[in-house]
Amino acid sequence: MNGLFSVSKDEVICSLYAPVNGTVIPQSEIPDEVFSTGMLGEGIGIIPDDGYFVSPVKGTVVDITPTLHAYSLLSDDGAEILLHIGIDTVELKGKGFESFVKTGQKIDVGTPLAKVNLDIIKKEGFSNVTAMIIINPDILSQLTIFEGECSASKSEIIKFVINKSDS
Amino acid sequence: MTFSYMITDENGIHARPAGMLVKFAKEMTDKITVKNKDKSADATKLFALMGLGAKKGDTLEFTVTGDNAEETIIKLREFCLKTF
Repeated sequence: MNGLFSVSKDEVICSLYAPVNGTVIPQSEIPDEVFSTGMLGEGIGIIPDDGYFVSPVKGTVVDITPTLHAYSLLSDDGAEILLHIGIDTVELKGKGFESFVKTGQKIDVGTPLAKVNLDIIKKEGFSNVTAMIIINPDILSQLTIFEGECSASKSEIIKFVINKSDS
Repeated sequence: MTFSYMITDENGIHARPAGMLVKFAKEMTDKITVKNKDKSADATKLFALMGLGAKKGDTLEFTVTGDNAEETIIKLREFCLKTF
């Protein structure tokens, strides 16, 4: 019924969609060990093609860094997702970043989160590789990653099962 | 036991240092909570730590509870000096 996914009645299948047009790369290839080593959780890296970032999931904005480069999102199913745009981009102090959401705001797949000037990131010498990390991977199982080209809010790039009886 | 630390890192507690604190806190057997002004966070919770909005010049108050609190505070102090 669900392909390789076997679920019981307490379990729910969740998908995270691409937050931007680009190419999905393995987490281990993100050029920052905070993300690549899995210290923060499990996820993927994305090399963005453009600067239009959208929500990967239906849920709530929990936090936005004052520098507008990192978004903490809570999915309605309980997955905590950190979307971190670019590497070391905290140093830009918001330069090149424009945000469209507020803390506490409800979001859906495709809700615009931010517009980012990728040229500024590049010109300032930073990588624009974006990390999308599930920071509470202990509540999920059967995590599957879909690598390669992705289109914002349309491509399913991470799929997993959450056990509702645990959460 | 408590311990206070003033942040000297230019960028405050953003994703990287918060993630490092989570890793550190998970390695400890004691429970560590962090307070910044009126907000407090479990040191193992990344979102809560980033949500503290701790900036350069803010003073964090750490509370450590558990059997090895003294030892944990010493390690925590070293960690803070290196990280924040």
